[in-house]
Amino acid sequence: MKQMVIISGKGGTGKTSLAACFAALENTIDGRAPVIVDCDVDSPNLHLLLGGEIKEKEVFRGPPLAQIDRSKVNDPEKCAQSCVFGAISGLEVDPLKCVGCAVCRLVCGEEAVRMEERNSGTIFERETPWGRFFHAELLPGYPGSGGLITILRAKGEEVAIRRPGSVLILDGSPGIGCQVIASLAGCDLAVIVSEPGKGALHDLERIRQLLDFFGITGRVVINRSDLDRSLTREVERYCLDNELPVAGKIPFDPAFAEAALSGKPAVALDNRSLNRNLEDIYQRLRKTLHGL
Amino acid sequence: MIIAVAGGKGGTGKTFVSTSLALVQAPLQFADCDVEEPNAHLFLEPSLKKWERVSVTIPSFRKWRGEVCRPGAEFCRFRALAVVEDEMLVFPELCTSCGGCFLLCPEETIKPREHQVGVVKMGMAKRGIDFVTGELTVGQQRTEEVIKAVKKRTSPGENVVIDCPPGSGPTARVALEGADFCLMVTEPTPFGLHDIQGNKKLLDVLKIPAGVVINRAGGSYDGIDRWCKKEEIPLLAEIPFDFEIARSAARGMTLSEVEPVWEEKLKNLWADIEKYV
Repeated sequence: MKQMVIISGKGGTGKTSLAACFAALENTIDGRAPVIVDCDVDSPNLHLLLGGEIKEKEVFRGPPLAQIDRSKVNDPEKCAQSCVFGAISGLEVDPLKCVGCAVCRLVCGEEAVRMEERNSGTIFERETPWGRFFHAELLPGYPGSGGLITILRAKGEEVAIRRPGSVLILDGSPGIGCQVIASLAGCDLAVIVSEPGKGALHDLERIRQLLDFFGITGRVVINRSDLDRSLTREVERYCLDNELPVAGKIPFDPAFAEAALSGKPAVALDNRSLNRNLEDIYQRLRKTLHGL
Repeated sequence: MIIAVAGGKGGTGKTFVSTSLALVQAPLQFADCDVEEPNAHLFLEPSLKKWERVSVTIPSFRKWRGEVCRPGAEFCRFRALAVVEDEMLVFPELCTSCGGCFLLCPEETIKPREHQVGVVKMGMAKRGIDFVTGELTVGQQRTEEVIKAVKKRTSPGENVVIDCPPGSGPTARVALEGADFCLMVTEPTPFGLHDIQGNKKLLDVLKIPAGVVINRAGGSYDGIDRWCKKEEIPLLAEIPFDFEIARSAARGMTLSEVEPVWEEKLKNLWADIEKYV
């Protein structure tokens, strides 16, 4: 089993659109379905392209939520101030701020505080035309994304590992923080989707540093490459200077928007030049992946 | 008035819209709270002369007659502490600074240590904008701490524009908290709609009034418009899908710098928002 994660640093470069295409291509190239996981649990969108039927749904519990019984609190003032995250207000616990550390239990008294399981979101398993697919939605503002991503990946790995040579494709989130780190750790290959732009270049540097930090092999795909050829050359130069190979460039194509409206990967549309380019790019990535 | 610019989906143009709005309303304060991948400085060109470290308190352990603190390691639900062969190991990136281990471990064995997770940078930008930004140190995970440090540098009672991170999770929440209004920047696609719906749920919990800006507008998709009508959320502006605007934005130009007609339009947008606050 090999794991490929698609990240970007900068948001909106086309991670999800390309993740869907890679999943579809893995199907046709290998004849075997990949396993797909949407690790962007905060703003999951991959299900809008992969479709399929929901096979299973389960509640994501997440970190426990403190429940304070005010009648049993020794020192109400000390108790109210015990939470460094500001989750306790008037002995009421805010589920958005409570991370389940249980310090309040130490301070307010074990009798007074119960750490309860809570509903933090939903985990979905789908059978799609492109492969088995795991995704989730966290309730808005809720903590626990790192743990949720770990659970999703474990579910994906459990399926992928049953067949030798399987590919597990992870759609990542923007940024460089805990969600991205939870999605990256232990992957064989990170595909950075970039685009021509000062912001994209700035963000590329930071995501590259993150890959270095974790010792993960990276490849870059430059999306919307014809938007500004000179800026695209700057991205390519940056990649060359930093020994980060570019696996390919994709010119702007309305097929991606069309695909989103139709609810399928862009390669499923009949666009010969785009599809040939995406196939070439994916073949290169696949070769790298299997060589790692 | 504090205006936060969010929307959920990454890459819709939050930074572009927030800096464009700030420029026409200058002088005011601008806070770049997308501390994982800050980009506003590319548009507003601040002179970032003042830097401040953002640190969190984590535990460090001294070997005291071979003692380790097992209760502390067992208590830590973030697995930031481990006892391995009679040695206390600390994993700084996993620690949330909850303070539990300090309550459980004997004073002689545990000491607080400052651990840097980011930096806040401040300075003057275009048109006298008071600019503050934050950067999470690569490899660290305390995004919310860095966002809080950025927001601490904004002055109450002043006009502030906040560039929020993408998503509708805890990092977006911390950036949004305390805002008088949230301008949700989206794109006319099913992804844009899905994410803006999640963002609105978060804003409802935070009780922050919202309005929508559609960026890259045009085309047949009307999902956003219909949703705004249905939810009675004001659609305050539409920026057309335009390669010139896109190319200029990629080079760090704000909207009114590319198309001067937007100087007036953005001022009107600000005035419209004031009516809702």
